[in-house]
Amino acid sequence: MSAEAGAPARLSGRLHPWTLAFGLVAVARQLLIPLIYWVFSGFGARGALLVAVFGAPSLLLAIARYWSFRYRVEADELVIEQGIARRQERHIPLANIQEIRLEQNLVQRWLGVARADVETSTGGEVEASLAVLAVDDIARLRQGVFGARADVVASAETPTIEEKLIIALGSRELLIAGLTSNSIFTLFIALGALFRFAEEWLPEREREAVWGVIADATRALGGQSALMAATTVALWVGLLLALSVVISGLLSLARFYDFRLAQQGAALRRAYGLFTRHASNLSPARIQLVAIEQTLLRRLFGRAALRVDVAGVAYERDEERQGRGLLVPLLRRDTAEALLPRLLEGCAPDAQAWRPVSPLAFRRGVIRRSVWLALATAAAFWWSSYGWLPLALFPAVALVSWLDCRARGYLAAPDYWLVRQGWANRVIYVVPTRNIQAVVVSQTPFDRRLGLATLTLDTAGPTPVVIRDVPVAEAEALGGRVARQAEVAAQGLYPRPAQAV
Amino acid sequence: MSDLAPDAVTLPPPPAKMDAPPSESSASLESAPAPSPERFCALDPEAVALWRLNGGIEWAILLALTFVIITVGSIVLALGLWFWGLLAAWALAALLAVAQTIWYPPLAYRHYAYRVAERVIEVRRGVWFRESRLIPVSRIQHVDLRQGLFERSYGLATLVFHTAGMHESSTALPGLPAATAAALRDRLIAQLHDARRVETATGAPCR
Repeated sequence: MSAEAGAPARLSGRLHPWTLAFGLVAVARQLLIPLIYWVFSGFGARGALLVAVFGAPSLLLAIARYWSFRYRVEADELVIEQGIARRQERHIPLANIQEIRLEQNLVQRWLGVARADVETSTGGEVEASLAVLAVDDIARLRQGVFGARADVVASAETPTIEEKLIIALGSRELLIAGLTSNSIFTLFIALGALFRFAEEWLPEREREAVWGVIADATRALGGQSALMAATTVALWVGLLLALSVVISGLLSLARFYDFRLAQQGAALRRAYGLFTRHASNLSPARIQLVAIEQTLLRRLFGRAALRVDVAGVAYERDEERQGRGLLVPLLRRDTAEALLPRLLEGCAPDAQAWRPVSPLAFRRGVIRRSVWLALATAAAFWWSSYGWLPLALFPAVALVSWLDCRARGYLAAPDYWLVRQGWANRVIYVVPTRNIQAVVVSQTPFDRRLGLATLTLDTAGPTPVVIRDVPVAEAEALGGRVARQAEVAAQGLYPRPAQAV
Repeated sequence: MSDLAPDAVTLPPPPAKMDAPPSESSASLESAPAPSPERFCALDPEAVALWRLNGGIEWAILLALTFVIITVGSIVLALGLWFWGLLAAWALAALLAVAQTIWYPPLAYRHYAYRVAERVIEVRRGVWFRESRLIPVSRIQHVDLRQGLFERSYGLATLVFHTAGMHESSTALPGLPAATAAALRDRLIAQLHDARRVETATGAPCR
């Protein structure tokens, strides 16, 4: 079938036989309802027919997939063949392969197999998924694909080059990460799951009984006086919050269990997860931008999350929460800053070099927020005679504007730019100059009145870096300079025939 | 807004020489070449006529459609005298459209300029919303040369520079004489293939 006619394959293989078992389980899961019917109908002929009719095609497909699936590494391509009736042959140039990620759930870890996701730079999607292979085969595949390349380390699973641990997260850090994450969201998910569970598995009468107990307790406590009513409400809210904190703590513990970020040759290697183990390598050369993010809660704990933008990859919100977009889910703020030189070569920010945005930004902030406040007041007047109440918020508007203006700033060094912003949730973006694709200096009519401009630094990553309220002459000079520096940096990167990106 | 600014401070008018930008420490300037005295190039004056034609056609289609809708609507809904009111509003809109078509393109033309200096392409534009886009030449992924039907009859062309950026990935430079556009494209592509030939990037004439 897979005749090696042209280029000799350096490595070839097929899926692990366990694939069949996993395929069977997947089919069984699809057939849950017919199967249950079959079992409960006493293994009758009708049930068997139902199972066969619904199950046979999927089962055949799963077997055919296992049977026909072949991969091989040729001189400069990874070739993946599959399909019997409709044959498909996918050729992925080795140079385009950015990463082969390993994903392993609990059962797979026990069996010593894993799914290998082949990622290229096009759109950040998984180009090919090899499920499942033996862990050793994945190591060999990585060796075959990346062996000749200097920028990626040979193996993520069986380290051939000694790895130096950069950061490991203990359970205390992971708990803090969970406690300071957006817990309300996880609460809703947990409650939703709980309700669905109750609806499916608890009989009607039991459910009514549980509701009755809750309602009675609330009435007994809250019915006595206004104070007791308020206390009851506070108690319920407190209980829910505590529940959500516990849930998100546990979730984070399971998700990032045994988190390790290590240096392995030139690449960074990251592994984490309790039930599903994720392991991946990242070449620092691929980093478009580093973001040090601190939510308000995390600022209280002095912690931050470290996120990196990788060219062409935009993570979905879901993936972001699962940690794919995060480099380190939680670390001390000063550790994050100390880590910068290891992620971006030569990046040692000088705290003295930070420059603020124009003080006019404060005035603009006050005016912009006052307009909203005025609108809110007008709306409130429509509703009640206490409509002037929102105006009492004016000091807050001024305070927020002042904090916001103070939080914004930038640091322009020759090799990288740092931009910070956010009065409550802070974020610092670090952009290597060599990654800047375009620079835009723009002015709205309001900007022109005040002599300000907006400076935008565009990279191949999904996060736009925008600095507002910079004096126009400064923005102009900096924009011109950084564009020239980006060009010079690119020439340094590509001394011979230029290859953009 | 109640901001009081005596005189508006804006991006320098494009076709003038750019004033010397270094306001930062000299140490950081070492890695980049000194700012260049390269002059900005204006677009082909024919662009004004082209934009007038394009704008005029767009307005004519829009106004014709509205006229049909007003007329048919008035008859179907039996609007009576309201029809004349609507027609007056339509006439006013048409007048404004004519004024805009005549008056706006020269203004836009005056604010459009470009230059290639030290391997950085710079395109300036915008009447109310000013913009200056800077693209390092080596960051260009590909260059499109576009010529619409009317553009061809005026001998004009539009260059579009594409980069790998996620947000500002393409920059259009319209209103170039077709020959200039092709020459500029060829020059940029040649530079892309030979990253070291800095001298070809500077000192190029406008047309």
